[in-house]
Amino acid sequence: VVLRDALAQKELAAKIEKTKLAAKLLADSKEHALESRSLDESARLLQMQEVFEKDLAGERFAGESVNETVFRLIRMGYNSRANKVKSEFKIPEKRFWWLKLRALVAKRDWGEIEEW
Amino acid sequence: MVPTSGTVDTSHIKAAAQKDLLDLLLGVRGKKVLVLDKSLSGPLGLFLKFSALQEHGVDKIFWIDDGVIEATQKNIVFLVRCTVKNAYAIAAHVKKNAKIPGQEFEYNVLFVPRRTLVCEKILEDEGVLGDVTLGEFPLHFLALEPDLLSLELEDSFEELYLRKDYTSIFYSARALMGIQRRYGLFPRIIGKGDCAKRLADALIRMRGEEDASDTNLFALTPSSILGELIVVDRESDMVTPLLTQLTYEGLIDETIGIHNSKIELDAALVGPPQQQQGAATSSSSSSAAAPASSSKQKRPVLLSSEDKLFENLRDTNFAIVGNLLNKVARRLNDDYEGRHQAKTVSEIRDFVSKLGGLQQEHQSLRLHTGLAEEIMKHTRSDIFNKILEVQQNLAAGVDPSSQHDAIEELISRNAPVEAILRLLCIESLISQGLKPKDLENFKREILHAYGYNHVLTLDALEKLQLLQSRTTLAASGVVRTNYTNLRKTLKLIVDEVNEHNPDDISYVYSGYAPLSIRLIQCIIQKPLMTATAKGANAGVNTGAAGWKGFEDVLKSIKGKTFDEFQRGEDKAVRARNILNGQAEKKVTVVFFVGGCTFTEIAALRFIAKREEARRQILIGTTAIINGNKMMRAAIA
Repeated sequence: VVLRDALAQKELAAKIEKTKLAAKLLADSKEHALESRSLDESARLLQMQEVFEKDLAGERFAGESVNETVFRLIRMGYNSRANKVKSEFKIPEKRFWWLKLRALVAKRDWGEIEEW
Repeated sequence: MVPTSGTVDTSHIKAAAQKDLLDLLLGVRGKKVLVLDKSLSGPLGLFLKFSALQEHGVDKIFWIDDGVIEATQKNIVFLVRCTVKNAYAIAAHVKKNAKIPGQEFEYNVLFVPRRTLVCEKILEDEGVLGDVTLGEFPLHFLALEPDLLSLELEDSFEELYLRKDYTSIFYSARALMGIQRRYGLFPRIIGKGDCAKRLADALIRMRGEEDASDTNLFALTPSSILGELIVVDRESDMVTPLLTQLTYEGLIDETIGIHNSKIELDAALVGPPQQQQGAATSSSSSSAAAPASSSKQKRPVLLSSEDKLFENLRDTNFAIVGNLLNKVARRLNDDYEGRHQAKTVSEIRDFVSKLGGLQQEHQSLRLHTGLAEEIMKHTRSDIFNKILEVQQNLAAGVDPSSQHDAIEELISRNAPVEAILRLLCIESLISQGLKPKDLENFKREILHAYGYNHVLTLDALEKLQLLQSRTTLAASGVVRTNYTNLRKTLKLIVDEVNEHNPDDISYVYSGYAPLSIRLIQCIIQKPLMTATAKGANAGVNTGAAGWKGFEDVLKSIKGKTFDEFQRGEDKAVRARNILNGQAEKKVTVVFFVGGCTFTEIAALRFIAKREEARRQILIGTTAIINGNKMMRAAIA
């Protein structure tokens, strides 16, 4: 459990590695199933963010939460990518709608809201 | 030594602290540089002015975290809290300075509130123990208000319940011993909760040590002034601080944050009017330390009962603050208009002499209107109201699962993470844990919305026993505060609240009476409480003291219950009684282990007003906390 403090790593690659290691350690004990799963997820999220950063030059995603990532993606108009994150992390419909609504309002894209 | 009137005066605590520190500083010859711990500057500012330090030869002040300083004087005095980190910092300073050739320094280290072996050991290991003179500055209670003493140990909540570090209990006991030494023993110590029990034990043990070492038995006999000491453990009532405080001072704390009874405000709120008028009036509202600041900077504002307007407002429900401000504004206006009626010279002189006071009042009115508006902005927001609604529903015992939708919505709308965690903790506390499935669900939501670093947060909350699933709870078999039972017997929920003219303490939360305060009422307002808790124990002798009559209630609250007497030698007691006369009015000291909230203080003041004829209530606490601070302890 102490290893989780190692999450405070600066570099992305090292961070992913550490997180995976911590998740593995946690998986050994049954009680921490949820924690280990979420750490797995967090590693995956970091990887996805890395990909996004490469694809969309000039944007920083690393360190943001799932919701923030989705929010930013929709706001910038990358709906397909947002949907990918959604399915990857099994975001419930309701929450996704909220995010979408908020993001579209922030974007002032009223047309899109009406269409959908 | 003991004042003849039956009250405890807290101003001497301030004076003593100031004198102690200045004496220590005088002990160092010549001009000196003071290196301060940042967390101490707030508390120090409460009883000391910079000018006083200058008079005592302090040349410059530095922060210890600022790295190694260029010393201009030969003498360096460190005044720091006794922590491991600080000890290392001091060692670093000393080592660095030793490298400068041709200069010699003298180091004095003052640890607050006492030196510990650990710190000495570190200095020794770093090889600098020989170069420094160690001392201690026993700063314990700080009198924030005439009726409010605080140790200002901001981390005490985290230390006590998360890390199980009981140092702050030791400090509390020391501080209470200080009171006992001055006024005599508390004849009775009543309390609830495990940490409270520890504190009481420590007090009794310290008395034993004192008795053994001290030949002067007279000093430690039961006091004729002090009534009882009531110790309340934060652990026995976690829900109260988690709810949003609804008094004026409480809301300021929730939205802006009060530290050492100071708040940081946008200069725009305080600044411009003061620069115009500042020359004319002695600007009482801004703290003396604030220099002429640029308009962008934050300015510290001292909130205390010296501001008459604030004294009236602080404990009222926020719903009526607007009205009150309006009334004061009108009165002020009338007073200003008064000058037109002044005809004779003497009348005009009268008016002019009043003018200073009027302007000062004007100033504080402006400040508080600005402040109230700021808070209004916050309280009018959709999210705030939603949070409040969920809180009230949970406290009132509505089926919690009906609130889940609302909480989920709040998460999706990115409400502050502290607020969400507070809601979930309230639910967990009130309904004896969440269903495992729901808990898992919420955990995932939180991790998604606020980031995966909150895995640690959730773990900490579980350790604090604030957020648990029902199955692990049932398995652990620990007795926990059972709000469902208490709600009825102690009448925690009051439906009809009169916020304008409160008749019950529940006004502070607009309908919920803090459990901690209800417990205290069980002791000091017996007749009233037996009336509310009628039925189960109708035949209770209302004259009984202590917990009597409420044993059933106490069973459903977490932690140990205790009720101890402290007796002295009869002869000495009698002598003392003859000397002082048996005071009619007793002082009840209420001490919160682990911190209390402004609303609880407000509620206690309300009781104090009711009980004015019979007792004075003095509030002590390790720190002043609120729900957000509790959550932040877990987030860290």
